[in-house]
Amino acid sequence: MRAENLSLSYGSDPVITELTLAINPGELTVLIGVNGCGKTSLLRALAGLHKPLSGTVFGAAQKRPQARRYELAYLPQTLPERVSLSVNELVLMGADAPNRWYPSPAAEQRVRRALELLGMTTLANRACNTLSGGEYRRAALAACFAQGTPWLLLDEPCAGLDLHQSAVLMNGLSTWLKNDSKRGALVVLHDLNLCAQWADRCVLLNHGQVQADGDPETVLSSAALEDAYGQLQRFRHPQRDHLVVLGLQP
Amino acid sequence: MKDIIGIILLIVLGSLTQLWIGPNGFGWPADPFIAWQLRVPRLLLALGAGAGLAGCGLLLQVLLRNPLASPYTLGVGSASALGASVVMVAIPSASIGLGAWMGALMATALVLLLRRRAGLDNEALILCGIAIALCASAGVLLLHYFADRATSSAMLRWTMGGLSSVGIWDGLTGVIPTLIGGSWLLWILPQLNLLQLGEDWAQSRGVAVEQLKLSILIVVALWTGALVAQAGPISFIGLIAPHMARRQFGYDLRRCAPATLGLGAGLLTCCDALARVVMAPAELPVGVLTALLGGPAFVALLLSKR
Repeated sequence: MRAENLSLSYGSDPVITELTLAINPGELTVLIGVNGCGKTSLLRALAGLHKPLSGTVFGAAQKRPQARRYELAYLPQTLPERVSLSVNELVLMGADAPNRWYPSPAAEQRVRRALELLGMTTLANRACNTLSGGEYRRAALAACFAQGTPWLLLDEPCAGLDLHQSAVLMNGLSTWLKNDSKRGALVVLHDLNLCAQWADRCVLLNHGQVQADGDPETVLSSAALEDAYGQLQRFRHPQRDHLVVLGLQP
Repeated sequence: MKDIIGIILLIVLGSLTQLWIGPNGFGWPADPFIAWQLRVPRLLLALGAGAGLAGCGLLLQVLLRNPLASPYTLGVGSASALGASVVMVAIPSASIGLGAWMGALMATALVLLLRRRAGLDNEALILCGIAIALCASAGVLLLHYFADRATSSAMLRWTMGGLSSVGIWDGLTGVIPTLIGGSWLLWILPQLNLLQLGEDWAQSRGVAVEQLKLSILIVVALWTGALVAQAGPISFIGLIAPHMARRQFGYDLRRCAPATLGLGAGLLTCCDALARVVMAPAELPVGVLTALLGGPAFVALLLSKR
């Protein structure tokens, strides 16, 4: 999946300018950046949901939605309105082609595996409007897994989740990736420590352009990070082998 | 299961009452003309129009993601009343139904044009519908002002809705659009299921959202227009039936949509039977009765949800 010289705008306001980025299979790529730097717009363009002003997105975005659904699953930042569907019904709904009245056995199996992977099996029959925020996010991610695509584009999957729920979700994502080397994921995260802990590759976006791209260690210790976020405190975790990044008071 | 039986009972009760009620009390009419040319067509029209208006209401509630949407939200009801009124005043020899249908189609064509030109979102579409409805209502009032007393009275009577039918063809004009529209609705249900969760959500799961939305607008215009042309603008069925069905059968449209169609058919059939009984041998206009009963029923439904 690749974007070349991509420019995006909302009306006359440019969001992304002349951006080139390739996402590789077998990697958990995390997209970071301050609010409004163009992360969601980039993700939507890669998912074929935002028409570029100029430049090209290669990959699933070039295909029609009916064909695209077999290549990438997209988790929007704003989740579907919570209605009284059960978790199982929600996850099943996108697991097969949308012209099927009843899902195939293969889709049902994908749903079971997705729910297992995210620890949702016991909640399968609960109505979505009775779930906590974290449980509902996991249900929505399970719907993405159940789609059975090689690519995942996730927009802030950990927004509003506590430490434990975030770890459960990221662990599920990491396991999903490891199960097949042809799979790849681009995930928008605001928590730089989750990025340090789970990412294989980190891309820092600022003012609509890629400011740093590489392994999390390099990007999170780069000067570009302070250019984007302001003053930071960075140190190595005493027990775990990764950086810890804290924001400082301005 | 008991909910499904309830809907079937509602339809059976309404249908039997419709067939057996006459100006002289209950009973199967001795004259075959009354049975086959008056009562059966009227029942067919009630079943078709009820199911159809409920189906159109459900489609628009999903499309606009607004639980207050009804078949008339985009101005179709008022525009068809304007079309019918223009025919009554200006071309009395022409078919009133055709005028109503043309009015409905023109209102939808205007909505589609505005949507294409200005790229309107759902909220703006609803506001456009309200504006079209207001203009069409003003047009009807203007025609009332210029029309003679008899024509004005006929125009007013038409806007109250009614299911009086003569001949089997009148009945089939309610059933045929609903058979076609209902089959299409059932065919696209899995896509509607995804659309009700959001446009991005649906599109990234394989639904061609723009194409689907355009198809819904066109089908609702043709379907509602055809029913309003025959039965007049009957209100509340298209609003209340999807709500009742969702409450009993949940948000999975594979269960909710067939229930909506059944409830719509049952409710309108029962209301029409009631309209013929309340002031027998005179008849109340069924559109007035659906609004009179539907309003408080809708409020009760909302209050009981809380």
